[in-house]
Amino acid sequence: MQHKIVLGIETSCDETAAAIIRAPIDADGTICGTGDILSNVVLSQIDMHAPYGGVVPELAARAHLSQLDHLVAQALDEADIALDGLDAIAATAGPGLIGGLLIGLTTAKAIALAANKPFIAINHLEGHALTVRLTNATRFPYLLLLVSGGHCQLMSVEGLGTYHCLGTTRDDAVGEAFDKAAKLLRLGYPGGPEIEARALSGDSKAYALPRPLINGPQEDDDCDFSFSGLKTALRQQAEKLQPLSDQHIDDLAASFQAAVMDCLAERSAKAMRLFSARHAPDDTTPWPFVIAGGVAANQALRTRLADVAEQYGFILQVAPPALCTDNAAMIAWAGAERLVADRMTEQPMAAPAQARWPLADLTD
Amino acid sequence: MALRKNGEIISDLQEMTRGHAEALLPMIERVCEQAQVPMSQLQRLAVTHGPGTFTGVRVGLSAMRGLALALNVPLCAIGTLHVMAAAAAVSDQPLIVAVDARRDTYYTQVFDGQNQPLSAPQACSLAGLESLLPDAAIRVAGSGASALCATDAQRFSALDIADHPHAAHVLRLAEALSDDIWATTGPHHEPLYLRPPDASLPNPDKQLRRLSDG
Repeated sequence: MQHKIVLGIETSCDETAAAIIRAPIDADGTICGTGDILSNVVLSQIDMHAPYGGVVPELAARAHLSQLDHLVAQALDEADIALDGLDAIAATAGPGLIGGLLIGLTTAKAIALAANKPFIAINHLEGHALTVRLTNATRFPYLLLLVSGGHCQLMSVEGLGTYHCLGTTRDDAVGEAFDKAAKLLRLGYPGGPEIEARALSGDSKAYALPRPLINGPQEDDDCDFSFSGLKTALRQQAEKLQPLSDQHIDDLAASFQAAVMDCLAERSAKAMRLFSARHAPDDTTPWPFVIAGGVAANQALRTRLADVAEQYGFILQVAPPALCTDNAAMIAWAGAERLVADRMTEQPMAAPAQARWPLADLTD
Repeated sequence: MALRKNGEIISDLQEMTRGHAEALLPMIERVCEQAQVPMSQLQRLAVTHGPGTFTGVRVGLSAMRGLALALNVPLCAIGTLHVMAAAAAVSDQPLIVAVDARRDTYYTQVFDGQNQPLSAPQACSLAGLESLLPDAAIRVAGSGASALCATDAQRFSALDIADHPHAAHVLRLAEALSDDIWATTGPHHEPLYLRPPDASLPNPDKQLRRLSDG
């Protein structure tokens, strides 16, 4: 069996990452089976941003530049491979924080130019969308819920480069909503794990918080999210209660998390109905419902969405937590998929960094 | 971008306020092609590390740190203000390079008549700038020159040289570095930011009160 080996670089937010993966190729030149992660180096900047309650772009950019070339050398070393042994180099070109994107993109291009290897500019969301193919060899099509600090989207993944967006957030991403709620309640950063931990000892029915958009018309095909009204309601409730006791905080966290879960569950259920209507029914195997992004690490969310999936004839698939949060293995894998399918970046050395780059723009 | 091959300099320049990242790598590729030098034959690399716009400096360093890693050749970092000073003719007067970095901040460095550094690059206000200088006739270069000259037209004379550092001067300054420096330089050069990042901590007065606050 043949292989393609790809170096991936990720610097779009607050993780600096480099990884090398190996993708198996069958006789007719398509990817067959799961990939091997030869190295996967991630340096989180969380401790640096934590005092600010969120990512500070300039701090992030400074740290990416300081660390990236060290991490690339480490990834090559751990994979025990020289640049010459690579088939391509891939880097996140967007969406994300422009300062960080430029560092990863420029470094990757320079390495590719010097090593005379193809360079592939990767959409960060495509990296998340395809990770489950690296880990589980999941076949197209599948339904994806991408939930992270920067994104909240439901999409039908029809094939490489063909993504049909069913819904997106109109304001905050879900991870961002968790971060802001945690900041408001003076819990730590990132907010997701803090809220989840406090919610365990709280009463999720203690406070009636809104579930934006989910009671809208069901006939349309809109699966959008909105969390900003929920965030405001939480603030107003907390302001009424202050000074806050530990029980108040637990109950607020539980009520907030329950509202978020309800929104994600209802929107996912609607997306499953739409997905099933779009694709010919398959009686033997349930469609995969994939959750990706950092918020996929939330256990309450996984339990809830596994139930929803079962109810609608889907099966839940989630990559291991280290591949749900930002990493470079997913970028390397997306690079391998594009290399094998010969869907390469045009004029790769001039490929721009794009702070905004909707996945739908990739679809022809 | 400039390259020396057998004594000859091959260079390219694009003035731009945006889009360094998109332009830089194609330019490196183009200059190497024009010079008929394969990337693998590059022996030494040099890059400016600031002060300058944070993003611009980082793009240059990212590219060159990436090239240094892949080619396994030494990389030296040269100060931007020194590169600008290198454009001036030799004189019997000292030279100050002052770049207007807005908010009454100037990136500045003082050089002797041979355009060799007398001080390290630093950031200071216009008033601070004056106090740095000897009370004698001095040449001024950079985008802050007119502001400084306006304070004392007798003492300061603005030089008519470009406000932007040129790669050919980076090349000349790098070539003047000793073999010892080239032998010991590490590839992981940091930008000379001279300014802290813009970041503000949450205001405690605006936070919710907790019972445990006492």
